[in-house]
Formats: sequence, structure tokens, C-alpha cells
Amino acid sequence: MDKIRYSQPVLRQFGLVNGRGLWTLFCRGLRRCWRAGWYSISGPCISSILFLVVFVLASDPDQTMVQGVTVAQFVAAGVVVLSLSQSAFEAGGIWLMEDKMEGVIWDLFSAPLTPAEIFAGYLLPAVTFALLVGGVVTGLIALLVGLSITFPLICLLFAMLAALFFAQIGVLAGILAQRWESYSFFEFFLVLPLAFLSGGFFAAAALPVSLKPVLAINPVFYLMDGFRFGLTGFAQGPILAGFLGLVVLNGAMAWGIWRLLRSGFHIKA
Amino acid sequence: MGRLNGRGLWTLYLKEVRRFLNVFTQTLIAPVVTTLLFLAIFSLALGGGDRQLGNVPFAVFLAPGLIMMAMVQNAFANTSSTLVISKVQGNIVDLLMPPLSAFEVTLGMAGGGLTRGLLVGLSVSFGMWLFVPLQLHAPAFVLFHAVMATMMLSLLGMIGGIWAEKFDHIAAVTNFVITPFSFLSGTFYSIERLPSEWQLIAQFNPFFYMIDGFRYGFIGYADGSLAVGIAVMLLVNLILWWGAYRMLATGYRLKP
Repeated sequence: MDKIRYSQPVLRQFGLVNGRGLWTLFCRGLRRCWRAGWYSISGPCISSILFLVVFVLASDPDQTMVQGVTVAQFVAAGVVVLSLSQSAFEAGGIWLMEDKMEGVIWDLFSAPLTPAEIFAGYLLPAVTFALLVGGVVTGLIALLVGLSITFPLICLLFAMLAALFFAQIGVLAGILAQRWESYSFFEFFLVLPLAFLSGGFFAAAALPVSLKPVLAINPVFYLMDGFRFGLTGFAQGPILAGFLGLVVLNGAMAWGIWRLLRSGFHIKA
Repeated sequence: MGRLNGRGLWTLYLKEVRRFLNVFTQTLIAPVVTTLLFLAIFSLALGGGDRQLGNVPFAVFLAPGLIMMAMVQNAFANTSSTLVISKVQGNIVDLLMPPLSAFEVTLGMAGGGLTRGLLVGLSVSFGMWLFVPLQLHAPAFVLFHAVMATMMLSLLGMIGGIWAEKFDHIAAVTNFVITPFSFLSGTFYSIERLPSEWQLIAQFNPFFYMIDGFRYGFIGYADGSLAVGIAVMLLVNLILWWGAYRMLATGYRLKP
């Protein structure tokens, strides 16, 4: 007669990081972004291409932006970073917001996940998805404009910083907003102005002197500039200082958001 | 009730209007911000050195088209979202059950979209006017094209909203139809700039006529024929009215 063996119930041990939990969250986030397959990124692709086409058509045929960089080459960086940023913001915030509104966020807070893991579970899929969008848009534009990428690694670095920055703004908006209306407030009054008034689409020299400081304190200016440097080898501002500043800024934001999540602000009653 | 269910029609219209007034930061103020940002980047990037287009400064050429784009996108969003949300949430019966004829539903709903489009037009124009010296050259053209264009997109939004079964579907219509047509409409450039075969293609885009005629009302310069523009707007609206009405009357994708 067979013996029936009962395994003794044991307490599950986690190391420093709940790896499986984090991986599950990551896959869930990515599937949500990818719910409509390739179609999910068709929107940003179409609007980027249209933006570029319209910019080229609206310029004079032989106009150059700065130092021999053509309008298409100059605007390409802006278009890529804009699409990447918008995707990162949306993917970072919209799912957290939805979970909050539907009340499913409790499933996360009652699971054995630390605030840092929950944060990463929302942030990392958004960053991955945004980088994918940025990659596809860059590829499409490179095909159309005949762009050869000067420093691919620098492009990747700044793309990652941009994705992190905007995904963190998204997560922050998702935490702070109590209603969908206030969530979209972040998009229209923070994300879009930051992204558009960043020197992504116009040369810094074209700004009136009084507005130059506004550009200099906009972190997105350094994102766009760094990415454009990677694409074309041309820079309008300091690249290394911009890079370091962005790393510090992203780190500070991550710390702040982690503190917010840990305190349960606007999430735990 | 007489021939027309006046109170029902008015109630539906009010519901449609209150829907967007309730979230006016999103529906009336946000378009001002986006449009001004567009104006800023395009005139900073391409308007330098007193560049002229259509005999006026670049920003003045740009402004009417941008106003029009904001108007039509909002008109489309109003009617399409009201239908898709009702369908997804299942309260579309509240629209189909009351004693409202297909004609009344079309009129009430399109009226809501039209109102939102025109109000957005006013708010955006005001925002533009702070930065760009806008002048009215032919107010009748401004009014005609504003009404016709917002009506056209309201009706398109209804047709799209009835056809769509999920939010993704209506997003597809926006991405693949509305955005390309409105970007490639000649808001940002004069179509003389296009290669000749593309100039011909551009003239088959109804969005070209709405923006061209609307801009003529401001700056007194048109790329295409004004008479053809008026005819196209009337004809397209007539066809879309008929389409939206038929869809509601037959219950296409609305009634099981």
C-alpha cells in the first residue's frame, strides 16, 4: 500500500527581492501595454511620421536648422523623444490609475511585495515599452530620412533616461491623481509643455533672450539634446553635465516616489 | 408629441453639452495649451527672419489652421466617445429606448459635438489672439467653415462611434483617419509646396477645404477654389448626415 506523503507546510522565504513577484508584475505590465499587439504602437508611429513630414513640408526647401543640420535631421530627435516620452508617461501612469480606480491595487498591497517592488512593477514595463516605441520610431525615421546614427550607445543612454523620467512622472501622476480628470491634467499641463518647449523642435538660438533660462532649467532640453547628439553628433548644450544632472534627477524622483508609495499616500486609506 | 419630440431633443442635447462642460479643463482649456505649444514650436523653428507664407507672417498663416484642427478633433471626440462609452458600459439602451426618432438622435448628438467644436474654437482663438495679430477678413467664411467642419467631424464621430465596439477601435479611427487627414490638410504649409501630383491628391482631402476656407476668412488668401470648398463641405455633410441617420434608423451595431 502506497504511503501518502504530506509535505510539511513551510513559510516561503524571500531573499532581498521577491524575484518571482517582480517578474510577474513586469510581465503583467508589459502585456497590458501590448494588449493590441503591434497595433499598440501604431499610434505613436503614425503621429511621429506625420509630425516629421509636416515639419519638412512647412520649412523652406533648403533651410537648415543649425550648422548644416537639416530640418529633418534636427527634428528627428525631437520626434523620437516626444513619442517615447508620451508612451512612457501613459504606460507609467494609466495602469496604476486604473488599478486605483477599480480598487484592484489592493491585490498588490496585500501580496508579499515591498513598496520598491510595486514601484518597479509599474515603472519597468513602462520603460521597456517606451524604449520599444522609441526604437521602432527611430528605425522608421532612419529609413525615411536616411539617418545614420553617429553614436548609438549615447542615443540608447539618453533614451533610457527619457523613458525613466517620463515613466516616473506617470507613476507620480497615478499616485497623486484622485480622478481621471486630474490625471489628464498632468499630461496637458506638465508633460506636453515640458516635451514641446524643450528645444526638440527649434534651435535654442531662436528663443528670445528672456526665455533662454526657461529652456536651461527644463530637464527635457538635456534629454533631447543628448539624444540628438547621439543621432547627429551635434549638441546645443553641455552633454556630460546634462547626463549627470539627469541621472541625479531621476534618482531623486525615484526616492521621492518610493517614499510616497511606502507611506501609502492617496492609496491606503 | 408633435412631429418633433422637442423636449426629448433638447434633453439629449443638454446631456451631450453637460458631458463636456463637466470636465472643461480637459475639453476647453487643454486644447488651448496644445494648440499654443504647436504654434510656439512651429513659429520658433520655421518662422524666423520674417518668413512669409500666403502674403502674411508665418504665425498668422498657421493660426487659423491650428484653431480649425483643435475644433474638429474635439467635435469628433465628443460624439465618438459618447457612443463608445455608452456601448461599452451598456447604457446605450437609454438612448435607444426613449421616444426619440433616428433623426432626433442624430440632430441632438451632432448638436453636442458642434457646440463643443465651436466653444473650443472660441477658447483657442482667444488664446491665439493673445500672441498672434488675428484679423477677420471675411467673417462669413469663418462662420460657415467653422459650422460645416465641426458638423462634419461630429457626424464622422457618430459613424465611427456606432461602428466601433471597443475603445481600441475608435482609437484606430483617430490614428489612421482623423490625424493623417488633419495633419496633411495644409495647416502647416501651402500646398504649392507639394510636388504637382501630390497637389492633386491634396485637393481630394475635404480637410483641405475646411482649413483653406476658414483661413481665407482670416487672411484673405486661399490655396484652392473657394466655391469648390463650399460645395465640398455641403456635399460631404449631406452624405454624412444620411449615413449617420441610416445607421441609427436601421440600428446597425446598436440593436441586436
